[in-house]
Amino acid sequence: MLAVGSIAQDIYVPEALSGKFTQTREIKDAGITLKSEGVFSIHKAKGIKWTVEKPFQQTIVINPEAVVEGGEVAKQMASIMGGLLIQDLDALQKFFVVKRTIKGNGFEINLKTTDETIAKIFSEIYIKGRKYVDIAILYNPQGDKTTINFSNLRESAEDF
Amino acid sequence: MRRPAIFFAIYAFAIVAIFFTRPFTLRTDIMDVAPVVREDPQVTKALDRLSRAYTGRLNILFGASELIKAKDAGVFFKDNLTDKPFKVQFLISEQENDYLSLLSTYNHRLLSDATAHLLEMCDYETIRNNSLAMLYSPVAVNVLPLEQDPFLLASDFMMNLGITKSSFFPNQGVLSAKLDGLFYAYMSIELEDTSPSYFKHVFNGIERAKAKTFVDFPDVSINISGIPAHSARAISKSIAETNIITGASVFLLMLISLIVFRSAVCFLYAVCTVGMGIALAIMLTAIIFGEIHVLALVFGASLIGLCLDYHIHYFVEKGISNQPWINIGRAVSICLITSVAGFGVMMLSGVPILMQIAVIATIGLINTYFIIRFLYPVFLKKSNVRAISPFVSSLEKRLANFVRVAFRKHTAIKLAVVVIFSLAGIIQLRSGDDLKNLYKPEKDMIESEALFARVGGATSAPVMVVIQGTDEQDVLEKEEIFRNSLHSFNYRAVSQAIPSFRKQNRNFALTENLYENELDTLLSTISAPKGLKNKMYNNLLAQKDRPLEISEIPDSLKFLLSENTSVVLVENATDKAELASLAREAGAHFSDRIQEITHILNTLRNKVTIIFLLVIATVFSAIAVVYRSMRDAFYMLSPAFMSVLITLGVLGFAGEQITLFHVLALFLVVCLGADYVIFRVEGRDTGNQTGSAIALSCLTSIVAFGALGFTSFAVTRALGITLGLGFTIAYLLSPLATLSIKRKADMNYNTG
Repeated sequence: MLAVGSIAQDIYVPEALSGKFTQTREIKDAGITLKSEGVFSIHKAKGIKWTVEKPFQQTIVINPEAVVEGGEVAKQMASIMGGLLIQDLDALQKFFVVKRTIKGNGFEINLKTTDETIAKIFSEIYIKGRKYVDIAILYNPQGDKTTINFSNLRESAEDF
Repeated sequence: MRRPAIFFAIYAFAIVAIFFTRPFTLRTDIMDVAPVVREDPQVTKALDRLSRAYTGRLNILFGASELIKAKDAGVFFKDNLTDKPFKVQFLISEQENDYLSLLSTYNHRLLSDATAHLLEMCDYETIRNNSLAMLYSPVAVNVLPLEQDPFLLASDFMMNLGITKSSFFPNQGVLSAKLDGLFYAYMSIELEDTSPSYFKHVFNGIERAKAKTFVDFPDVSINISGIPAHSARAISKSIAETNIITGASVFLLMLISLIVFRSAVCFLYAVCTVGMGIALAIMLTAIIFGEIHVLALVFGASLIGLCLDYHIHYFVEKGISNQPWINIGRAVSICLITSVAGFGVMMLSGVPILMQIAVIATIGLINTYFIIRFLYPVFLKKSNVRAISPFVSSLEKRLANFVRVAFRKHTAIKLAVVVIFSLAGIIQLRSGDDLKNLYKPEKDMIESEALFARVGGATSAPVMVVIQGTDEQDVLEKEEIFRNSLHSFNYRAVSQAIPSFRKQNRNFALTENLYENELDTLLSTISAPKGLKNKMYNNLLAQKDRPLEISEIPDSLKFLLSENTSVVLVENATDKAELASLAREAGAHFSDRIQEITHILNTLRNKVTIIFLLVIATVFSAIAVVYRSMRDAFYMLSPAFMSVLITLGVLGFAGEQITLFHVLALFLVVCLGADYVIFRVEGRDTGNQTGSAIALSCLTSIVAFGALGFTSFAVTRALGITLGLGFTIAYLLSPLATLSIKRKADMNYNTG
């Protein structure tokens, strides 16, 4: 495990990233599993475009304009999600204690929140990958678990 | 000799003793100069309460790489604030910390404005789609379990809660924010007073606590901002500047005394006489009005400086005569009568600050008059006051002759040129009533404010709209109606955090309709197990007749609400006219505090200008009565009036923005300008000595008051510049009056 202060120095942070995802959300109390898949695109300056293709068509765009409308919580969510996808640990360290472990060619990052607002949404986050993030697992305080698998990743972002 | 000395000693002791033992309230708030009187006292009360809460609040940010460090430093700082004559808020109480949890238990009675609107329009499909999008989103904000909030309406409400639009948010027991990788913990200090002595006491304590905190927490930054911080800096800077200038003035006055009279006696008598006059004036004014405004104190005390005039004439005459009062008594008495007549107009003006200035100046002048009239002859009877230096007499004579010669021929044309020049400058005068002109903060203070604005998310002082009602629920209902028109504004209102009972009931009914129309579809879309629907309905119905009460929410969120009024704070309002119009339409009261202060200063300046003209008319009448000649009165007051015109003209050409304080200083120019001429006219028979005394009087006045023009504080600077220019011009023009009156006398003689 590396010290927090040195984490950002040896990690690759792309300007843009896009690819496919499959997401499984397990809602513990309700006994429901929500499965979805689609494509995403992220650009450090432009924001995130998250397109759900199944089970229904839905596109979420989180950019500076949307952040203004959504308020501070939306701004924080955008920052966290962007940080997760492109491994921008500087952004994540604002909200989490970051523990990073190197394993072979890959890495594992464990995030525990220090922020009470964020703690109402995520209690813990785990991400694993090689050059890019392969899998992200997010836990919320109600015990719900969201697993996102990423594939076909490339360093570009479509216009949005 | 013994009896008057004993009387004087008792008198002086009594004044000094009462002055130092009877504290009085010194007002410093600009709003106290002429308080805004609104039609409804409740509105005034609500706005004043909130306005004073803003103007009396210090914002302290503790910045560190970790929030816990910033929090610990804040706790340490607070513990080291010994003797706290103020309210400190830092750690969030349990009640406030649980605010979001509290709202979670009333979630079916709370809806964001946008969602409530969609439900009113029966647009259930949009709500359902939004809910599904949130449920499937990786960044879903789901603050409650699904069985309590299937449509994620509680999350939607909290994300849109106006109260949380500030960047500060409860975290680790404090209000915190993040900026540029640093954590900030927010502390507020509510001050209860605005007097300089209280500020000094408070800020000394804060500086000590800050120094101790830096020792134990060297990595933590402490940023202090807020209006009191500026006031404290301004007071401390003003005191430092005034001390330097006073020290320099005292030194120069002492030097003048030593050069002119070759003795310090004149200077020491002046200090005692003026000092006693000011002490007595302040004491009696405080008794009459119950309090004194600092501006009245500054300008009133300056007007008492007129009596330096009487004092110097006495000493100059004493140098050549054993009975100086016989030579100057009539002139001094006429000066007193004309000045007091002018102050009388100010007393009747109805403008509180002018009334206080007039009372202070009148008491001070009368006190000084009697000391010079009755005590100087006794105390100075055996004193060997030396005649004024021949060099000074000669210099003054040459100067006066130069002016007389310069204007002897074509006087009217030359004066007309001067008047035209002055009017050209006056045309260029611009008013500077904007509050921002009164105070220009230093760089570090600007940076502190900018940091607090960036961290806290506020960029300008909010404007306020007051809503009135018969009780709290009525106020909330009216506020909700008004808020419907505020879509284009960013605002904070208490009804955002706690809707009225009526709105809560309406929200509940809308949510119930949503369940009836869309819950089945939603649950089937997400393949929810059987039994979940019943649980969801049970959770909904449990909140049916259980409204969120005002008493349940934290005090910090209720500060905008009182029994019959609430205040909506609109931040960064760019279109204030539209907001004012919306408030009017809703029967609410719009208030832009900064604009109001600027308006007060503007109105007051216009009123004071009119009163100033009345004062000139009164002084003119007084002189006309004393000399039984309107023509003489015209000639005698012309130099003073001309000096006012020329001073304003020069200020116009110099690009100075004219304020209330420039106009107030002109009162002093007129009074002293009239005195110069009265002494010249009355002292025609005593030749050089009168002129020397006037020159000396002018020089000491310029040294004492003109130096204030070099200060950075807008009020004293305006006073100094106006007086420095006004006195000089009034002195230079004063020989012209005697020229005219002599001519007339010669004409009368020749005619006779």
